[in-house]
Amino acid sequence: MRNYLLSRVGQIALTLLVVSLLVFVLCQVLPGNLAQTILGPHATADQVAILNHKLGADQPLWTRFFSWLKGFVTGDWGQSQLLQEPVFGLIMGRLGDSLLLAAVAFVTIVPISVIAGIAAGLKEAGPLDRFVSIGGVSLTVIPEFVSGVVLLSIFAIGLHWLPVTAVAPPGSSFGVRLEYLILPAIPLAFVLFGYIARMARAGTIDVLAQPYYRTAILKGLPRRRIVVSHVTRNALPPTVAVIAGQVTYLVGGLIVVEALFNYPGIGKLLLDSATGHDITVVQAATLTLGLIIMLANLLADVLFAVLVPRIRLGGSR
Amino acid sequence: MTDQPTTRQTLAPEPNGKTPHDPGPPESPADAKANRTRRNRRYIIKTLSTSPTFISGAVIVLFWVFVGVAWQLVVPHDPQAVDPFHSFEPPSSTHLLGTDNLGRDVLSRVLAGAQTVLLIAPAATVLAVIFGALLGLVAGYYGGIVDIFVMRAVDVLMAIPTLIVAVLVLGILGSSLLNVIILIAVFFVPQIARTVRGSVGDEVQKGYVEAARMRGERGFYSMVIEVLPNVTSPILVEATIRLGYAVFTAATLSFLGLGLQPPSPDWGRTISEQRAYIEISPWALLAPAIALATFIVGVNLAADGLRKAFK
Amino acid sequence: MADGSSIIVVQQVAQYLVNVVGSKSTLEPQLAASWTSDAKAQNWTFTLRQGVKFNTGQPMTAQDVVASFNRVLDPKNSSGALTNFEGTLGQGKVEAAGDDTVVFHLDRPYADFPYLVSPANFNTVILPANYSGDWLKNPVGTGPYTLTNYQAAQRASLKLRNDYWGQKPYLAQIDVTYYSDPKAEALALTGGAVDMAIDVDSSLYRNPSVNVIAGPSAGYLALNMQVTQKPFNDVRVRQAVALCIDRQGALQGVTQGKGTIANDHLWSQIYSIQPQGIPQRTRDIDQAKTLLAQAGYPHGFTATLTIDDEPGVPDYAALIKQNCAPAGINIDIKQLSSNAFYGTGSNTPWLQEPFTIVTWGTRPVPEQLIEASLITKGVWNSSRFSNPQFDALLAQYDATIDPAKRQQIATQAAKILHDQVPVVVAFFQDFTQATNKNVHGITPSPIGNIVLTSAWISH
Repeated sequence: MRNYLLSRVGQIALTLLVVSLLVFVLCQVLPGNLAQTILGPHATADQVAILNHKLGADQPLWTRFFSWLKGFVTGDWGQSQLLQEPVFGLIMGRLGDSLLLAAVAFVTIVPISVIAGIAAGLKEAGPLDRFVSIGGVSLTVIPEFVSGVVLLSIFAIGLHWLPVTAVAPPGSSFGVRLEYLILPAIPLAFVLFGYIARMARAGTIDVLAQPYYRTAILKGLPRRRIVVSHVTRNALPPTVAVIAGQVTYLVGGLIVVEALFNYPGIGKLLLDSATGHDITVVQAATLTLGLIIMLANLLADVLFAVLVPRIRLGGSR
Repeated sequence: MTDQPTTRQTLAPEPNGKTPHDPGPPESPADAKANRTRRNRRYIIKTLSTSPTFISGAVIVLFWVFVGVAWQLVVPHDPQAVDPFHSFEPPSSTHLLGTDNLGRDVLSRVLAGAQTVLLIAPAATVLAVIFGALLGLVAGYYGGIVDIFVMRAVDVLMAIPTLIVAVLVLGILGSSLLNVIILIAVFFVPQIARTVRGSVGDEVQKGYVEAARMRGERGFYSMVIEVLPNVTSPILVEATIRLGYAVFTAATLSFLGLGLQPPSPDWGRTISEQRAYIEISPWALLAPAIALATFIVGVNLAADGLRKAFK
Repeated sequence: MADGSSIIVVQQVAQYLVNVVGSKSTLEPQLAASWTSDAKAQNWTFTLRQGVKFNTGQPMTAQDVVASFNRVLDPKNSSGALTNFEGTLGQGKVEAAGDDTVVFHLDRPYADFPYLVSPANFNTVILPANYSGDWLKNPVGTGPYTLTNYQAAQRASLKLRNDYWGQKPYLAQIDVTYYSDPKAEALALTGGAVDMAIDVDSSLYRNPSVNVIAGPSAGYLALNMQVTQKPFNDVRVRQAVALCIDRQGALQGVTQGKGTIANDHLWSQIYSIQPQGIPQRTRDIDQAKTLLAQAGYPHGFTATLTIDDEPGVPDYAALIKQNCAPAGINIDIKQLSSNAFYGTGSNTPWLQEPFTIVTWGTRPVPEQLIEASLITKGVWNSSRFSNPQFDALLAQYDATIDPAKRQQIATQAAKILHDQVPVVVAFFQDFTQATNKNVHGITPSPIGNIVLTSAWISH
């Protein structure tokens, strides 16, 4: 286990290094230079050269890369050229909004998926089982913006149940903010539905085959109660691990959902800064997201080892 | 989006062609190949033709392939013809799915929009299969240090969040059809390489490759001639699964404005363009959204059917 | 001085020497009671209004006005007004002549100078001489409201001043809410959370429960053709492109009809000076084909149109592509993000690419648009148009005070633009705001500022 963890951490560090190098090199390819960008089109060549020197932009690539990396680690993330804000605060703020959206997504979808999975597992191979499994597969493969558009058309345009935007008026209460987040949260969570329902279903089938289940039935306990309590106890831990392992997907989903709903989270920030060539933000946002994804994946592995003992870590490799 | 669970995959019933073939009694390499092929083919055709999943998936996919190729024959109007004074019209007998903000016929644009996704996704998948299979073959066949190096690189590549990198590369370098195809292909190479590597490993242990080696056949030759035909099934299954993800990725990039240029009727692009008018003309976004959903589900149903048949 | 989103707040609290009002962009006294210039239009004397007090209680004097202009003219403060004054008004050229008189000594004759000390030149608000910077923390001004609360990009509150020097507005308090999503803003309006929306989401145009207030402006989408690049170096090609455009259709498709048809020159109808006798160009594919054949392109040509993603621009590009196709002009569209399109440093596609669509905001006088984009020295001359006769006419226009003479010059200059077509101007976009039905007295401003001085709400 310790060796495994060490090698995973090593791999994470390596991957992050590759990603950061990739981002850094990509941004260097951009035409124009940082000093010119900051000073504007009317700056003289002298002014540009002086600022370039100040910024260290006349240093070799490797020196710049490592000084940028050092800045990132020490929390000196620079200034956004587009939004004229310090990048660190900007990213943390947007990250908070995205986390809220992701949290709403989990809270919405987990109970629904668990119930659907248990119901499917109770009548294995029945019509409901088939429906849940086909539905689960379909929802997993359909892009978020497609399900988002369909949901918007039905619930916001057709039925007027939910707002057509994700952004509550500034100063709204927390409850109102959550209400605005329901519609964007659902497509984000759809992909998880299939996974979680499948886990719950497998757990249910598992319970039904256990000797203690038969004992409990004989004792006269209601069938449904036994299943629910055992499934939640036995199938939920692996579900939690699965969710942790889906953070990579979630981040991608955030980019898409935030673009569809014009929601100012970190996904939208990354998209806008990449297309807007706001280099400092692109670099910091990518590395932040990369770090989160890697740590979540590591957490998922650890959770697996702790919560799901029968799975041997690294078994797939 | 397309980032699949990696270690978690062990838990989900997601066989990705890694299932080893039944070794059977020892046979001469040529006979073994011929017998296996014959037996497999009959079995596979039977399974596929009786699988409702595969058939419904295949019908949907074939429908869209037909539309993508022959849209010019089936569109009721020119998909690019503008008519600003008849914009936002609801579905009617002249415009079965209504018109968009510039008065273009929504049905015609949805049909014409099938073309781009049918070009990008298969092209990217084919590219990925070629390079992924090559890497997997090399790693599996040579083993040792080559194997370790290739598979470590694959691990690192697979850990990279694809959509983030796609946004970066296309956002910064600018997007084009070719850029999108290459990028998606690059994302898919590792998974295919890993699948092929797994299957090749099984094949290499089976002796006939060793026999060929004994006969003095050279490495690459024997690898291609002896091993490749025996790993086509897992490659085919993996390719179909990748195709589904390629459609997903291509549509998503297009939606984010990182794919095609206006006024392409591409589905993802159309949805993002018409988003602003959702209250006025929801049909202009719903139509491409539903088209895309059916196509993706179709590809995945077909892939699912294939996977079960090849098991 | 402050970011763009605070303009609405600043303009309720602080004021300018003159105001611009009405559908013809007429000048109106604000902090200056009157103004005159010498015969050459080079030295301008403004007489200040008496009894004007800042919200700090101190009276406004000529010293405050001089200090305000010295502040924006100081390159150290890198004020947005600096570019507007470049070549016209230099540092230290504003002097107080007594307590209520200020004289501006211009570097060149300029008949429309008062527009440069109006809300159209946003940063020229008059602040006290002892103003120390950071306006949002220190919101001083002579206007009817005081800023009581400001949270960047969130909300602001304004309260009516009791000691306001002029006619008091009806609204006792104004609350401003900032929305990052136009859909959210539209929803807040239709739901009654706000009474007025400044960005009008397209969904509101067809909503019967709100009033959409549209006023003409001089804002337009410029279809630039670089006169130095093939095939646009031939004037007949540029004329052919202009003849392909269905102007009514483009206006309808891009703005849902909110705007006025234009004639490939920049004297929009919000200006009091109007060129005379230039026939309106209308769509004529046969004529376009003839011109293309004469220019040596009998089968048309292919060109790449570079655009950004600002609202309406991709739609306009799609319409242009369709409009031009029948004449054999095949257009490929290349869309960049707005930031990549306007770019920085040496990478500015909007100035470099031969065929572009550029969004131009309204200006109170046409020469501000023309001198930036169409004279030889223009810093934003996307079409590389260079015509000595045209340059000379513009200089003459600026130096002429007599309206009749100005109209003659405008006619000649507009005719050159119309004939040479360095830029196709198919329509001018309206400036739109939306309010709920119980909001009254909102007048559209030709220069796009928000005027709430006569607004009232019925119950």
